[in-house]
Amino acid sequence: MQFEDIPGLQEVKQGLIDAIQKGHVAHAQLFSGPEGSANLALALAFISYLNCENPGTTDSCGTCASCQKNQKFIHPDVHFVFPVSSTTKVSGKEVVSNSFLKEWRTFIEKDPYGNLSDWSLVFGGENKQLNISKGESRSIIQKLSLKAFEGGYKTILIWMPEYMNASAANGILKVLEEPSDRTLFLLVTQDQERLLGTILSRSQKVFIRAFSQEEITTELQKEGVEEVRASHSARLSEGNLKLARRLAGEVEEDGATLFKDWMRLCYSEDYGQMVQWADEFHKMPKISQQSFFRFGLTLLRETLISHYGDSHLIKMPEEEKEFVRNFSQVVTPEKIEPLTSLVEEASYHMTRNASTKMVFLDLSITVSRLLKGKLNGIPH
Amino acid sequence: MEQFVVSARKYRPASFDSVIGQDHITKTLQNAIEKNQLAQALLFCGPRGVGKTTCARILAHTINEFDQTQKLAQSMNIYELDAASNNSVDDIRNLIDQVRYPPQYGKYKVYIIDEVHMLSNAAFNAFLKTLEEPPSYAIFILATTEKHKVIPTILSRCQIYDFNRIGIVDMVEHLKFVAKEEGVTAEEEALHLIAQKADGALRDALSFFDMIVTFASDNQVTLEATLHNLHVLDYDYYFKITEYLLQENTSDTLLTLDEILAKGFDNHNFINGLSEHFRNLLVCQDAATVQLMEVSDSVKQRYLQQCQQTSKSFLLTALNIANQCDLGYKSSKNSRLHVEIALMKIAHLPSAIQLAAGEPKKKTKIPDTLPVEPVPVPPTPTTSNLESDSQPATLSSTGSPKQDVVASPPTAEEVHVASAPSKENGHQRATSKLPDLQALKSKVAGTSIEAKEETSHKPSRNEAFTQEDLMKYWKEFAETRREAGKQQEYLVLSQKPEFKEPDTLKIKLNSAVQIDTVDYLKSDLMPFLRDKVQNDGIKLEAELEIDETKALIYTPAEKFQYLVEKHPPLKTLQERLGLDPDF
Ligand SMILES: [Zn+2]
Repeated sequence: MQFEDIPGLQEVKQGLIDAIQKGHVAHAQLFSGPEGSANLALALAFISYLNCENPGTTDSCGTCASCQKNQKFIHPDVHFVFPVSSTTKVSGKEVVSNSFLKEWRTFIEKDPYGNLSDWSLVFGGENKQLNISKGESRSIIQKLSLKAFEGGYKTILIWMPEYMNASAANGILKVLEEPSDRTLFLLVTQDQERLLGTILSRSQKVFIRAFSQEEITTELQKEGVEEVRASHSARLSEGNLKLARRLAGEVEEDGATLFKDWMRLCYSEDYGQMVQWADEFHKMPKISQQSFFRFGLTLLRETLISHYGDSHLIKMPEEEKEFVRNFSQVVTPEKIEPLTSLVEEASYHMTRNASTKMVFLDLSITVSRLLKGKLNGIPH
Repeated sequence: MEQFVVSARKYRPASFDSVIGQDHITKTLQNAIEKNQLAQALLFCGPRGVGKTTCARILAHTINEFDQTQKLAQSMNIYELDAASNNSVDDIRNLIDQVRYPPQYGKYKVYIIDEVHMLSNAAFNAFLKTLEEPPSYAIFILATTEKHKVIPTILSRCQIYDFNRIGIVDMVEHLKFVAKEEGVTAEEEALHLIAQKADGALRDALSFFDMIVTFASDNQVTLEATLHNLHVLDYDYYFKITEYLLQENTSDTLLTLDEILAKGFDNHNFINGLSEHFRNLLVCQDAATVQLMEVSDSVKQRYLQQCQQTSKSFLLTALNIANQCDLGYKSSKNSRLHVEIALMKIAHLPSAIQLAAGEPKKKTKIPDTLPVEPVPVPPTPTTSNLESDSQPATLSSTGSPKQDVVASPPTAEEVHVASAPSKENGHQRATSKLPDLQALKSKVAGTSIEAKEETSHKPSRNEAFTQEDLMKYWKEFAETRREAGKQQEYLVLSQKPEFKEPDTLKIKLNSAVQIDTVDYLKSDLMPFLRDKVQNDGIKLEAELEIDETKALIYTPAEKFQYLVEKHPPLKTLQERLGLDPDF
């Protein structure tokens, strides 16, 4: 992984490079960024740059021996620690990062923006709870007792340290604070609030912002997604590149059109149709159902904003603006909040395996009454 | 390339004199050493990064230096054990074995056991005996951030030293020192912010400092760079947004949020920062609590200024909304919408509060129209002395909600009628009776009407009347409601109002719903009474009597929030398992 492999984030990359060139490499750093951000990718690029034999002003060379190893994530002085769980093949004491290195390399090569469940799919974790066990902290200490093979930095990258159990986390406090020379800890977290204060306090933070909508759009287009779809997916993704890619790749019928039709249906109070819709909705794949809701919320947001007359805040195609204009006539700001809660709640219940038909029909009826002003607040 | 040494390590104090902010401990220790009264087992506890391990090391060195032994001997006589990674019975047995041999050099063997709370129970027990009857030359210093996890039998055998969080002033001073040593120029405000964010832990402060120097240009620690690198939103934004909120300027509020997000801040970060800002404004309202604010003087001045414009009820309610927003954040599927809705609600507060304040001379502020769930009254004992009445008035005059005041008259029928969207104009009309914003808006409209009423009745009637009369007509009106089958309304009106000279009726109600009912009845009730007694001066005050026990915890979400305050890990539990506070 090199910096140039990561879209956008110019100022963040430059900051990291400057730090290395200044010789300010703190021995324990926490790359903190939201899900779908470049926190892991940047940590990997940072390592490559640090180890590179001919680093340039904006990136590692990509050709030296060290870079070649880092490209395949097989540099002998770079160690990876990440949450794992037992699988059909690996169990008991074997459940440590080292047993999954092959899968890990595949994962970070293909999907450095993925989350924990993406990773779990790659190594076959089968929905089991993942963690970084105490055994792992012992192996970290062991790895650190070895001399660096290539005379440079010895690096330990811990992905998602928030999944360390308490004894594992406590177990690395000492080395984290006073490691031997030329040792580097890179902790890559999506949720720093869940880290032990004693860990936070020992590491230097590097905040990685989420991708901007523009950065994601540009990237998706580079990957061959056509413009409208790219900006549409970017808009729904809230800066999560992984999610944006998935949205762009969805071939099912557009959640947008569906949601609009459904809103019209609710407004028409045609209960017979609603029952049919619930049946149809039930047959849709889960992912399309969720994208239906996701789009719905985005639309509600745009409607809310349109009430305050700020076209600047809405980034949407022209034909959708038209819909929002009409929609906002019916959906006043005070209706948006209950609508939002209803949609959120229904979507949540469906992820919890409630009966899709029932939930959807109930939602349709409630929304219909709400739109028609026949509802006193949200029923609980 | 020379190895970069982090400041926390580079400037780790080597003598008691250079320890920051723990005078009570260093003095006691030094005294004990001088008087030869040092206990053989000491427990250092306190928050992270305040100098426990450092003091343990200094102590170990100091007592051996008294013997003028060589450096080498010293290091041989000091044993550091990291209990977190060596917490088994075997690890402790190894240690106990070593203790049996007297020191080869010097007088003492000092054992520093760090993170002692991590020892297993079996290890604790194995350790007990040694701790109880240590050889005369052995000194044990146990250190922990979590005293409550150390078993009582150990605690009772140790002399306990409680380390303080480091104060902001001490921290700033130390940062200045480090900056000077490193040849870094630092702005005072920047160091202040670092100290504030370090939350009492000097190590955190130093690690922040390093980070900022790392990413700074020309060894300059500016406030701007500090804000950026610490990922702290400039106070300016919070002041600005609060101003817009007070003006009910939703549009600029949302634009500002957009600006903030474009800078790479996330929504969650922002809403928590806004809560903090509201909290600061609240703290400012009382001269006695201003000192609780840990900000620099110039920023304090700005807070004092803005707090003049905000009422306590606004702040409490806004805090409540922000809190709800925070609680629901993780489970929301569109976090931006989630935050925007919260902001919109807050932006509607000023007029709601002003309405609740109603007529002048009222002591109690009723945040009855909280546009929040069914949690209307923040659990606070602040029913008296909430604010001077003039404030909301001045505010609303600058920024009343433009589109709403024009809405149709808030007669009961209008409000209840469900109508198709109004096409004739761009204004939103009251189309349905939703509990929060809607109720609020109908009331906004309500005042404007009442105000009009008063001006239009120029030759106002001012006949004398008796209290009895007034009560009689009140009852009469109540009866009309009963006859109309409005049981709920009758019930509210059947509570006897108090009469306050010269012309005010005061009714005490115990729920926001009842207040709503009265507000809504006002438009019929007041003309009725005024006609009957031929006096247009008659006023009605509705007051919410806050029942403390009731106001405390109400909804499942509130219950949960209450529990979270008591046991913070619950929140993590909820988030990790994706639990719902509802049952
Ligand atoms: Zn290279």
